[in-house]
Amino acid sequence: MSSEVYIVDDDKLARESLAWLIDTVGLRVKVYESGFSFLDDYRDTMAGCLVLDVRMPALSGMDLHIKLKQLGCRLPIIMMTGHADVAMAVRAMKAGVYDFIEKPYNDSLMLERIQSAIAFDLDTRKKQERELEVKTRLAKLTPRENEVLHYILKSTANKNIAAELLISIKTVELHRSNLMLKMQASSATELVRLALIAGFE
Amino acid sequence: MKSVYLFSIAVPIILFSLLCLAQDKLPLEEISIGVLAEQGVDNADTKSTPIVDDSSNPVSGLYLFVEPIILEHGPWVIVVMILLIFLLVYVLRTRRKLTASERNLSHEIVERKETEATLADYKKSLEKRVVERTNDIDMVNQSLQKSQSALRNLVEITSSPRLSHEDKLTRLLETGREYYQTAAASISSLEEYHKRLCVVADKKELFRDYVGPLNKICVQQAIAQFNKPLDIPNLNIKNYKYPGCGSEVLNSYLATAVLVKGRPHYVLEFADIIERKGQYTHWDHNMLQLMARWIGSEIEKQEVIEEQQRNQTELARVSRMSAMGEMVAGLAHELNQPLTGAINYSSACLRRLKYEKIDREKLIIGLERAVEGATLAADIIRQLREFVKKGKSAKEPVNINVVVLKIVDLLSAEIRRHRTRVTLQLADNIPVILANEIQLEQVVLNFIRNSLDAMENTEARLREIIITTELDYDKVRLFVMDFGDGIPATTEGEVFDAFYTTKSDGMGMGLSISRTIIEEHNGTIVANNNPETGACFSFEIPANSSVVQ
Repeated sequence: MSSEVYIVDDDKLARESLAWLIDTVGLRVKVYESGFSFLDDYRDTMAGCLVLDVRMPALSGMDLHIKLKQLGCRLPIIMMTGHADVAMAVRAMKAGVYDFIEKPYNDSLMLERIQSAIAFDLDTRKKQERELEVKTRLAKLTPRENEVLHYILKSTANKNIAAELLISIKTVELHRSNLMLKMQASSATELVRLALIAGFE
Repeated sequence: MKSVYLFSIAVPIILFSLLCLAQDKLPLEEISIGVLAEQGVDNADTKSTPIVDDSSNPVSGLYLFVEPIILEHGPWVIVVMILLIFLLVYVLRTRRKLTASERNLSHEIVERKETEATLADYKKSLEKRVVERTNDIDMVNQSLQKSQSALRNLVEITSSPRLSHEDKLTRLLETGREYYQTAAASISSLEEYHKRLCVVADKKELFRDYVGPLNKICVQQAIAQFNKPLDIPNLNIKNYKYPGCGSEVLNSYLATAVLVKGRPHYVLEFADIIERKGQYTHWDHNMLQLMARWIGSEIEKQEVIEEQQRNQTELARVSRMSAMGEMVAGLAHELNQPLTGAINYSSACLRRLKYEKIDREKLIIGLERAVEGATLAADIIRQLREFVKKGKSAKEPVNINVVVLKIVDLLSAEIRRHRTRVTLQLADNIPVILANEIQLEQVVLNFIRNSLDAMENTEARLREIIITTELDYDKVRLFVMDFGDGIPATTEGEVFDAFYTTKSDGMGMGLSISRTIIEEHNGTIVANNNPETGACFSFEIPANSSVVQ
């Protein structure tokens, strides 16, 4: 799914003007008049970034952020506020908000932030995909191959692995070539890299 | 006495010789000795020799006379003699007894006299003691009366609802000073640089340019023994000498600690130039302790009241501030939305103009919406101004002097807390003007508050606010002058701007609002620095002649 900018602001003029502004850089925009309408529309597959107004009736920007976090949403969030409030900004950043911007904002600054948020999102998603792929490959390994993989990651020689597992060197070599094939790794170094992506120690 | 013994010796000799004569006639010379001796006998003893002849030779006469008698009545003579001896012995014994009793008697008389003298002494001393005792009782009575009247005074003072805290303290102290008859009395704090709470003296010069307790060294002592008064009748003797007040040196001293919430916070002192003869009585000491307790409770009461007032003003200020903060936050949001919109549309249009091929329709829509947003923002501001104007009530006749007095009274607690003197120089000829009283009050209040805050760093004795009103032709003027830090030279023109403030917790609205109010009254508002120290804030309002009848 391609990236989109989701704007949540109760003020029509504010959200539509922002959408209009974002339109000039050719990004796709979706506007919501409240936090609830965004939650209704929310899909796990949404990509891009979320621009939220802090001060909204019913569901405030911060509340929506907390709700989304509970849903496991990884969209980077840019908060907008009408008046600078250092305490609130600090709170928002600590809660994991991607950025905090003060209204009225400079157009290029806003667009730059949005683009950086989208890039961040893309990056995260790529990483996620890669991790998922490596994990599926790992799942294909037999228990014995898994054992051998652990020894390889500790850079143990085949001879020693055979001694440890009480099997012949030939068998170890067979397991090794099999798992390299399954993991789609051409060398031991690549195997280590894949293991790191998958979260191996 | 001697004769008695002589006689008692002589009689047996005579007897013996007579008996001898009667038997064998003794020579004459021997007898004459005994007779001679007998002749020296006192007349009182004539009984024993009642018959005495007057012949020329008494010895031979007697012999001649006695011899026949003895010869004739020998046994009878002996009997008579014996009887005579018995008689003599009896007489002698009686006589001895008599002398003994006489001696006893004289002894007794001496004793008696002595006793009488002692008794007289006793009586005298008793009288003296009675007199002394009466005097004592009189004195006690007097001191009792004195303390009674002093106590009555104290009760009257403390329970009087009309007196202010300062008046009460002054009167309490004055009562004490009269009671102890000293030249000076003071209550001073043990903290706050020994600030003097209250002072009375029959000579003002005793305290000129002098801060703190009457005698600092003595105060230390008085505090050390805070349950007992420190009473020194003569300061010179005890080496307590300390450069006293003013030009005079104090010589007698009486002090005790004043406990506030159980701890010595103040000290009550009485001192005089003249030395006293002795210490005060324990009555007086008790009285002093009592006075100290009353003063302590009075101060405690006042502290509670001030604390309450402070809390109230603080609460009012905080709620005002938070209301204002809320309003500002709300206003910022309200204004920001349309402004953000307008800016977004405008900048988007600019971008389109710069980077895309020109699409008239789209640009028109964008710009129209930008105008829409800007208009909305302007509308909000207009609404706000109207809302503020709504608070403007009808003008009514106002006397500016009354406004000043009202505000000074309202701020009295705050003024006292800042330890500032307020001098009023109100002109009598100020006409009644048409104005909004509440708004003018707000202006005066802002002026005074600013002055109080400006003198925060000023030495306490220099803190003064002078409020002057005057009529200049058809204009009423009010000046509020302080001796604080003054307006920083760089910002002299900005003091009336909104959000200009030198205070850490200020909004910077006070003077800005004041200017709005004065301008609404067709007046002008001015802020200047004094030539030397401090600043002077003033305004002038045209006196509406139509109001003055």
